[in-house]
Amino acid sequence: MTLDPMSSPDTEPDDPSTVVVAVVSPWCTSVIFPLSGGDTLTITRKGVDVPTEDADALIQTAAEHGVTLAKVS
Amino acid sequence: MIGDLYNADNVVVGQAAVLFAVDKTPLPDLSTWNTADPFDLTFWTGTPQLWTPCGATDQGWQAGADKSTQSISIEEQSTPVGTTITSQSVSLAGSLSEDISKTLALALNATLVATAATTSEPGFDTLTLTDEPIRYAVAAIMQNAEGFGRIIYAPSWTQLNNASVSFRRATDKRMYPVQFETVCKTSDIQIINFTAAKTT
Repeated sequence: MTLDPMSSPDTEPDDPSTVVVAVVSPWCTSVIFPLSGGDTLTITRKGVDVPTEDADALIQTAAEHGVTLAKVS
Repeated sequence: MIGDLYNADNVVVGQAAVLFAVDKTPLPDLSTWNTADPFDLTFWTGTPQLWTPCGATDQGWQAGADKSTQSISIEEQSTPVGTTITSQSVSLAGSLSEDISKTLALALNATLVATAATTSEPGFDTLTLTDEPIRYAVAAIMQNAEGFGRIIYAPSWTQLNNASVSFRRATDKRMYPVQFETVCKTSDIQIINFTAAKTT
């Protein structure tokens, strides 16, 4: 896949139980997901490691905001 | 007779649609093009889905290729001995009519950060205008005379049109004018005209 050449995606997750998820919508640079405890998870065009079991839910939530995320690894 | 000199079936009326993606995104594999329906979105929605339609417009799209030329003349004759192209602006222009974050980001050259909703906070998009021109890959699709479809594509475009939006009670919808202009090599601008369906 091709993403912003200024931020090449990390296509190799650090942990086999994770998957790299990236923003692919061209008008959106990142999506912030609030987490319990006040932390946030920010997914960028470059891609972020997320637990595999959470990936589909995050993609679905972003889609509800009109933003497309995709697993890139 | 003059009717032998033209083919009225080649006269085409109809709309175009424009899709955009992150800068330098290539076209999808042409083998998946649906010659029966040039507006079939499945061509653009691979995994992951890199291309996004710009959405509804006010009066459709306008494609242009404006050239500035320079005549090369000599003293000895009145007519030019040659002409050069000094500059060329290839553009796609329209007024976007879907009043959503995607439209605002495009029309205002803004970056967007989406924050998802929680049980205690609403979801919201934060658009930030930038002086750095954002580049997109852009493709326009349309029917052609053969009926199999046409794509106008270039890998890098900017959208830096002046924005002027009217907010009226009932007179008209909100519209966001955009004009994509290519910022790539001339030879990177391609028009793909499908002339036949797959053979069986």
